Amino acid sequence: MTRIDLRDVAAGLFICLVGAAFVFGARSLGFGSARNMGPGFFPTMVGLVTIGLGLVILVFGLTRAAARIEIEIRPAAVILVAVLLFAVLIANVGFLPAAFAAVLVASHADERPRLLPTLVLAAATAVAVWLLFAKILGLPLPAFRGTSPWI
Amino acid sequence: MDLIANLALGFQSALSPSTLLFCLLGVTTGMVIGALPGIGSLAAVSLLLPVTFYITPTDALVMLAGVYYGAEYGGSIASILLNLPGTTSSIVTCLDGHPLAKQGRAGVALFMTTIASFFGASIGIIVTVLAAPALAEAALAFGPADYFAVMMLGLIAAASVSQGTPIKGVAMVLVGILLGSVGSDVETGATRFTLGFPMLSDGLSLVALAMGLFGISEIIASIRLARGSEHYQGRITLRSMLPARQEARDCVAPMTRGTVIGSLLGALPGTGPTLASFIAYAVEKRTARQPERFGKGALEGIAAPEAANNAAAQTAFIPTLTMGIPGSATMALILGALMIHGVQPGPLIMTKHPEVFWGVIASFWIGNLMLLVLNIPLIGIWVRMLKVPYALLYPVIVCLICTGVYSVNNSVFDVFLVLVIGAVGYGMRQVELDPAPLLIGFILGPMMEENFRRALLLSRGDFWVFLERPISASLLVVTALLIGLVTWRTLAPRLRARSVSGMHVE
Repeated sequence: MTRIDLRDVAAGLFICLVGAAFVFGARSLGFGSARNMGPGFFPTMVGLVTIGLGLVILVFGLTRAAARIEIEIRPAAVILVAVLLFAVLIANVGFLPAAFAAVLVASHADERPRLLPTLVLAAATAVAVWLLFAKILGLPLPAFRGTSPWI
Repeated sequence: MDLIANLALGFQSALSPSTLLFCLLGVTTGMVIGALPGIGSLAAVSLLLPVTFYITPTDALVMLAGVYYGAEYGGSIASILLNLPGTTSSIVTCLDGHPLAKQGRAGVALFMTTIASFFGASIGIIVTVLAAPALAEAALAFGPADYFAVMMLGLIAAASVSQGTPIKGVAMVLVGILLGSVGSDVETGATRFTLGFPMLSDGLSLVALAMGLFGISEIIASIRLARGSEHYQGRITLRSMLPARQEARDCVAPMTRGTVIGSLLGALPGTGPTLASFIAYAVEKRTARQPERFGKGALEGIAAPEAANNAAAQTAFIPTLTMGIPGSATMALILGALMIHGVQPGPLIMTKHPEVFWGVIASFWIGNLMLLVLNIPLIGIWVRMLKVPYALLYPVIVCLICTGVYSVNNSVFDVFLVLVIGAVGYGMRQVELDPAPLLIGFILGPMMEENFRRALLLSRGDFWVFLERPISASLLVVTALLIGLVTWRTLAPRLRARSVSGMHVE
């Protein structure tokens, strides 16, 4: 048990931050008047209410005891690295290596798998998804590419 | 008769070979994803969203709708066999479904859920056919202020039935509205909150947002969950599926009550199948002659909620299609897909795109018949599929998500966006912030802002316009009552606890 509800405190802070970011970002946009609103009017109003609700959640969280938060780092980190690799590789090397790497890495999210079946799964998935998207659905998905990023 | 001519038009477009194919693809994908624990219909719809950009609006909507109600059928299979709900609306099905499976009666449970689902869905479709045109006609009288008020009611309703506390739900709706304002302002053309990225000038990608919040973060959350589940060992034969005659007869009244509850709640904007299934279960338990049987394998306890969630899944299309107001987060995604295709949901959809509207309604009947076949004669396939280890499935799903997001705009930026949103989404789950209201806010936000600005422009800046129009005023009164009720129900236990502890000190 923790003396304050860390979940609600974190949630409240997060919500306040989002609201504040938008209110801050809307300062440079025209506010206008109720009769003729500028682009900043609506986001500012919504942002202010968001900050208010975030504060209420935060205060509730500070006045209540709750169970600890248990965060599983490994699955989260591994899956996110898999997506990152996919993004970097598809921009520079092409779809097949990107998909292969993503499946290979993602397989390690729970525990270390046996290597050979995982390699087979990664290769088979990359080819099958490429055939489905590029050949059957006809989307432009280069299997391999040169060194031109951001396409 | 107009209705018959319309339905004929609908079946004509729903029975074309390509539409039939996409309907089958949709309901099968829905079954697969619904049956897999951890990922629900939202992830399934967002996975297929990129595909819909390359087909006609009717085929796209038929397929996505099929995924949606297919997942309602599939969700109950994992509930019964593994005690892990495949979708949120099949959580209550675990309560009595899994005890039945433990008693060796999984077949009967699966049969009853299918029949109840089919029954609920069929009535839901009839309600949709009858009610949608009437509502569309009424919605023609709606001005901008009224639309704003309906959306407000829908958002508050969605927030108050979300998982976690209602105040967090409302906050998530607002965060969604803020995220929805990224991109070009419709009226002035000014770019807002793009942080200098030209890729954001069209707004955040809906697919990236949905895949990040419901694909990536759900997979991360379910990897460890799925490992602990036990597998169902028995075999399911057709003969073992048939319930005794008396049992079947006892389920007729619960199914009917469930259907009525589901049809009503589904049609309200913001609520949807999950709430319907919970209420249907509670009603059955309360009206039962032997309430102690519930939770130990009462067939009525699965028949009523399954009828309710499937009826609600169908009637949720009424506000979505006729007013453009989604009944649930999945509906919001389907709405987004429609708008990408240039079909503006709203009261004019029936006159402007009758082949889309009636085609989709007709496809519901066809899709539900397909699901009946998939669930009774072919049940063995699904039972076997649940034996595939999750460790082999989720890496493939991660790959599909990345590919899907990338292929919408051939944009590496969107894949990075999924990465960021997935990480934030996982964090949000850990602090009990439900991402579903966020998505509803994201889709409704821009429409709300547009109607808010238009209403005040017409009234020359006078805020009373929202209370002067009868439709808008009564909707806002209902919204205020709802806010009051929810606030009271959140605060009352706290205050009571405080006064009790205060007395204790004295």
